[in-house]
Amino acid sequence: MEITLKNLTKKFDDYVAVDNLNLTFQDGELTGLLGPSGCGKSTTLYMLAGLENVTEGEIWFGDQDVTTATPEVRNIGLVFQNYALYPHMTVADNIAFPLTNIKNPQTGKRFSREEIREEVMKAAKLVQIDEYMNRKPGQLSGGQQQRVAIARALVKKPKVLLLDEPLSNLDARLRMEMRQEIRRIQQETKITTVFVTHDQEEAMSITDRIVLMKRGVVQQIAPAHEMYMDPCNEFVASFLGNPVISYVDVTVHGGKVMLKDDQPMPLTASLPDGSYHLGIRPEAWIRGDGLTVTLHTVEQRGQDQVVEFELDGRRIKALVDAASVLSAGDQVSFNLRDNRCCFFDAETGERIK
Amino acid sequence: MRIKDTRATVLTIIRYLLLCIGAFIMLFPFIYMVLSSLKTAYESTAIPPVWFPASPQWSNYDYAWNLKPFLLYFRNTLIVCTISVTGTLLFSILGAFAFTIYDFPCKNFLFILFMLTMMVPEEMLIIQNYETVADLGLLNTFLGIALPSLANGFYIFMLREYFTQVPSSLFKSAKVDCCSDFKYLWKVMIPMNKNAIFTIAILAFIGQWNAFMWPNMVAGNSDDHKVITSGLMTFRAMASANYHYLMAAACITVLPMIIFYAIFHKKIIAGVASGGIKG
Repeated sequence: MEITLKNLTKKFDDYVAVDNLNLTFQDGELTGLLGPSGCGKSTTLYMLAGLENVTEGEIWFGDQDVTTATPEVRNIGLVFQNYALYPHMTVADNIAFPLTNIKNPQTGKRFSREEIREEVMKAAKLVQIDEYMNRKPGQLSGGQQQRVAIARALVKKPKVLLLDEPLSNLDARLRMEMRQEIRRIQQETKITTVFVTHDQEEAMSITDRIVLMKRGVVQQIAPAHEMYMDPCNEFVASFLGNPVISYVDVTVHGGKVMLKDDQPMPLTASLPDGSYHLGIRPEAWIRGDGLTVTLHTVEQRGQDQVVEFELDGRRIKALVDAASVLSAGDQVSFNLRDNRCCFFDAETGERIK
Repeated sequence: MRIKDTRATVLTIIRYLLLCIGAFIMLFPFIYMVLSSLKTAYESTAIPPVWFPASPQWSNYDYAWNLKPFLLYFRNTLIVCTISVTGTLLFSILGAFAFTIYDFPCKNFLFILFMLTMMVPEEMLIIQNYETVADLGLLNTFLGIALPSLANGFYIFMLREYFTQVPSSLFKSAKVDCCSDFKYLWKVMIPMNKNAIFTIAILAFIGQWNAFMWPNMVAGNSDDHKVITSGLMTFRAMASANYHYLMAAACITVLPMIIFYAIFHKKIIAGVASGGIKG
């Protein structure tokens, strides 16, 4: 089911948490709501769930206006950061809980014990938690609790699955594992899913599309790769990628790109003459003969090394392959790959193409 | 190391000694009551006091039991306690739930109002309450006796503290899963806080069992609605200076409470520790 937000706005007193949001979550897609804390992504999710009132605008589930609908009529599954499992119930009872509240849409009657057992088992198998049905949540690891929470959210076959920072309470290794699990479950069920996260890597790795927000305003909506390669402003460019993008002030004159002290950059640009911010991804730097710099620090990462040097008073990070081991103080010459560089307006930070 | 060990041992001994003295002081009236209940009339009033009865007078109990309908008093007390505990649980659970889950106008003001009731001593209200109960036509009824104790600001406050510790995401999650508020209360809030609720039930029970002045006023002179405390009071009037009978009657009336304590002492101590009040 497609979800459409029209001019959606949420105000807490004078504070605008979500500002005039217009976007569509495509049917069957996994969309990531990404942004730093306080950007309004969780508020947006809670408005989708009906747990937060809408100040202005509309929410449409398919061709149905649910703006003022209560959570129970929206038919959604919701997974919280802290899982929100009922500690006194077994895994099986937790997963069964939503079914005890609703009627079977096929028969129009309450679910029978057998039907519940069957549905619970199906959901548990989907998230691979069926061995632990009689345990209490307290006896499970964080990852297992997360699986139970997802099973509970999915058991009533909702039209939408909402995930609020579902991985932030897990340790690094489990997080990697669970995000692939979420992707697998989403693809198996083909359920429209909205996934809130502040972790760009998480969003990039599993989502079909990312909605990047800042202070209640959508910055860009695009698939991860496109957003990374083609950011619409400096905020988007800075938010995605690790190590982060570096910036220098440059002037363009007759297609030539120069630093402020007239040192030429190994790069050309078909832009009108003027001053720009040049954003350079760390992997844009390739060994060559264009620009010679002195390395300040070198960080070995195994498959590659992160080097840092100064350019026009700015710290620049570059990724170099591990073929030749570098060390601080080395003189290294680089060229630039122009498809990993972006020009931004020096004043507004907007992308200039 | 050795010196420290010795010192710790000495301190422990002193500590236990003090506790023993304290326990003896607390228990002395009780022990004396039990001993006196087995004395003869002469022994119970002798000066200097006779500590141990020459031969235990078990017949004192027989006499006391038959002088007043204690069985009826026990039954009455149990009925009043049941009404009181049921009401207390009903209103504290619903009240605490409302103050935890809902947002409504003047919520904080109302809550403070509830808390303020804890500051008003029971004695101050007794005449007003008596008039109210009389107007309602509830004099000489069990409901009239239990009525003022049905809702209690302190228990609502105490339970709300427990309820607010349940993460709000559980409620949100239940809402999304189409759970009604009442079902959430019944299936999640109450089971998750069953210890606190049980403690409140015990405290309310003890409080009602020990209540004297109010039940005595409402029950009037007939035995029909008298609770055990006022029953003992009338017994005292009848037994006058026969302390050995009075002590036997007193022993009879405290026996159920002692059994109750023996069964629930862990819960009672936990409840007193968390609530900061005595039962």
